[in-house]
Amino acid sequence: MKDNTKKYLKVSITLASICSVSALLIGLVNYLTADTIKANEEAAVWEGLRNVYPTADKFGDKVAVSDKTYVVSYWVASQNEKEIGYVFRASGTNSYGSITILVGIAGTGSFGTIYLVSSTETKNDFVAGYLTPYNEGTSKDTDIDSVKCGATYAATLIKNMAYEAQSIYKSEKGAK
Amino acid sequence: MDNIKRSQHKESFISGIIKENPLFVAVLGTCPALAITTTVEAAFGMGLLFTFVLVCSNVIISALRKLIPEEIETPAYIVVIAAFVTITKMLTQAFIPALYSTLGVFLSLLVVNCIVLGRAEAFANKNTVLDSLLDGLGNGIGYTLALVVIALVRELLGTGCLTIGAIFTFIPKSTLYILKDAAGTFDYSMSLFSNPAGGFIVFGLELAIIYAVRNHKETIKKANARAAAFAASNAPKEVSKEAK
Repeated sequence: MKDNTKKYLKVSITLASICSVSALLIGLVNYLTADTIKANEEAAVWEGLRNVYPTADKFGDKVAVSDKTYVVSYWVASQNEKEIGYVFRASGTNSYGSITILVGIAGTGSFGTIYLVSSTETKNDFVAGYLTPYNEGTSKDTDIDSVKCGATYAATLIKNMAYEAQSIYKSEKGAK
Repeated sequence: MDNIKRSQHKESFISGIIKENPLFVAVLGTCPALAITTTVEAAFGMGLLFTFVLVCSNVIISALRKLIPEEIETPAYIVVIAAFVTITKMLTQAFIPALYSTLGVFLSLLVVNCIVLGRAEAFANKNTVLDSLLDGLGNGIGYTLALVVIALVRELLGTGCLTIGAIFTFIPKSTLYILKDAAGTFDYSMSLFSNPAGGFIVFGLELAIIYAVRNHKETIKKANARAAAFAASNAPKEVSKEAK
């Protein structure tokens, strides 16, 4: 009995020590890189805004959205002081991880460019397999339903995020 | 004694590169090899990160090999490997964000990469820290070379050109047009090779070439050995004739 206790103690202490040192190391690296990662993410968002509306010369202040499943914020894009559309930021998760996109919506609620900010899929495959066929399509309002890209590319998630952005856009416009 | 040690170190380093290449000889780690070899830069980046994780985990596991009880070897190795993969992820996300987004989920999947865990169980827990470091380095270089060889063929055939500077943005971006030209007057690229199916085809063809070369060498070796044996069996008769 005593031998077993000693053995269990040794096993527990060794594993706990390895876990603790690993956690400390991860914490230290997180502390050192967190600001840079945040700055990179912000830069990616601004690059995305310019990608969704390349002709825009100004994006308004970020408007936070709460109580929605996917959409977390939006910006109003304008050109020569005239509004040209909204850009919605949406994040969602499926069984393959998380996806963050920017969705451009203009006019009476027509879909514009969708830009991928981050994804746990391999980005090149995701963009080539899903977003490029959609963004290069001539009729985005129907393409959002018809673009197919295989099970792993989260087409349904993208579609749900885009439709939620569209409903917020319509309600904003209706309120105005 | 020093010579024996030196040759052992050399063997630890060299064997993973060619003789026991993890991808082309052991056929391990094929999932990322097919998924991220669409461009040479992505393959090279994956190879570098893989080498870093493998070397670090090998060194730590070797250093702790006498302290880790047998019952918890595998969980302890997984914790060490997962810690280094998480650290690598954070550093890549901070300093090479384009590589981070290109590799996507395959960077996290290094935790369960059979080469990393395999080297820990088969080598690092039985050998010295220096040998484990060299083994990790050798296997890492071998895996990187294999990824780059596959990616070179896939990028060239799939896109018609080779591009650098798209992922490693600190290098000026440049494109070498081979199967197509920049103006678009001709384009002999085949997008199939950028897809997973193309990855399988290229990987299969490269494996076939490597095994054909190895088999050819072995056949020559066997033929030479048979010839030597035949010559040896005839030699005494000639001697006896001279004696007569």
